[in-house]
Amino acid sequence: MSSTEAKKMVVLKSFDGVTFEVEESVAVQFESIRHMFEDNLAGSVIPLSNIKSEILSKVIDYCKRHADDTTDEEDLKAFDADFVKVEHGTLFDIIRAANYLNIKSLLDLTCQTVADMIKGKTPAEIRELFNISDEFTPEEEEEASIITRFIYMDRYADC
Amino acid sequence: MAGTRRNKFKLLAEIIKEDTRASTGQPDEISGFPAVILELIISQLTFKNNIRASAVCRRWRAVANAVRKVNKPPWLMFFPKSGDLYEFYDPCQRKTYWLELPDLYIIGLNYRISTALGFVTLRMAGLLGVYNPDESTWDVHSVPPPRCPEGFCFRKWWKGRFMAEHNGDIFVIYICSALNPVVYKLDQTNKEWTEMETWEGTTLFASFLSSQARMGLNGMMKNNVYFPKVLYYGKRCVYYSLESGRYHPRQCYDWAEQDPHESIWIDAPEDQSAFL
Repeated sequence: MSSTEAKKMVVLKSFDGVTFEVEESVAVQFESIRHMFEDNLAGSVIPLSNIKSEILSKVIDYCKRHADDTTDEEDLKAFDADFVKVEHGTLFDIIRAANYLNIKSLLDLTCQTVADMIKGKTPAEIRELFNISDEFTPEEEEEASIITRFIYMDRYADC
Repeated sequence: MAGTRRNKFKLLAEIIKEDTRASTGQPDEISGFPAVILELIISQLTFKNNIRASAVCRRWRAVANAVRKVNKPPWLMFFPKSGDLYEFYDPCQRKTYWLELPDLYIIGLNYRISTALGFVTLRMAGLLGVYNPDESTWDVHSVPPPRCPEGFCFRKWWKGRFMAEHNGDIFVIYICSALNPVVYKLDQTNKEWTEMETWEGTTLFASFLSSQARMGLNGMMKNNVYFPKVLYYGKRCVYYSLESGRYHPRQCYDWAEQDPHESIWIDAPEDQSAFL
């Protein structure tokens, strides 16, 4: 692939109808739709019916940065750290988009971010953080309380 | 079951459609994640945090329990250039540990020698030697070597070829800088090497001194070859993904330039307390 060649562009359309023109070298990172534009060079629009424009633009931004070989490792790290500093809802939307488009490194980064949020928290704190209601049956509740007791002991051990 | 799920999706889609403002997402959306994503998240937790996560709700319990039981990937151990401080890297948790091991130098040296000889050795001429540690004997089989990928760099060829064993299966990985890795598996009955088109969920961990293979690791790690190079300050281990057919991060790696005696893949310790 020579740099003098005209850059091939791929057009993506978000759920809310916004179109994005992306260089093919960036779009190749979208593993799940790669075949669509690699087979079809006519430059037709690829609809991404479950990704909102706000999220798609973030994802494209990420892929642009990561497609650029000249970016210094430290800059990329800083970019990544900044990239995930978003509201939970947005982060989850990005995870879903990364999963749908099969962008491994982005899925990796975002899942790691959620895992970091969970680390060191009690089950109650995790439930509160993500607004999860516990749906345990009485028997399961009993089992959970045994686990909680275990954690309780373990918390003392941490002190 | 599938029907209800579909209904839920439909419902969610309708909600999003009605919601014209830029969505900030449902706060409990994490519960709506496909199990595979939840698995990716929970697999990055340490044992303690995994236990805690398992008491969050029924869905998390199922995932946390499943994740805890799967195979653990090996750790990468770096030999210090001087001193006794060893660096260990866990590719699953993406965590680096440091441990002072004053007496390990000699063990390390022995380990190097024994692995340089190999538990299993393969010569270009096509002799496969299998060492039996109980009887201290070598079994030598005549097996024609795998077809060498075109363009494979013969200069320093030994640096670009890795061998790993898992549950009796023997794998050989050919790496050369410009091409994608090629993996061969030994067909033990016919005594010949077959190129693996699909890796059937195998994960390989290649290093010059000892390579390892694992089956049934968590989703993200399947069908990958991991290399002994950690980038982004411990955030990511270089790997090649068969699914996407490329290296992550995307770069050209010249493995011939790597110091072969820098690191080794070791079994993850059962008891991690010394590392915490």
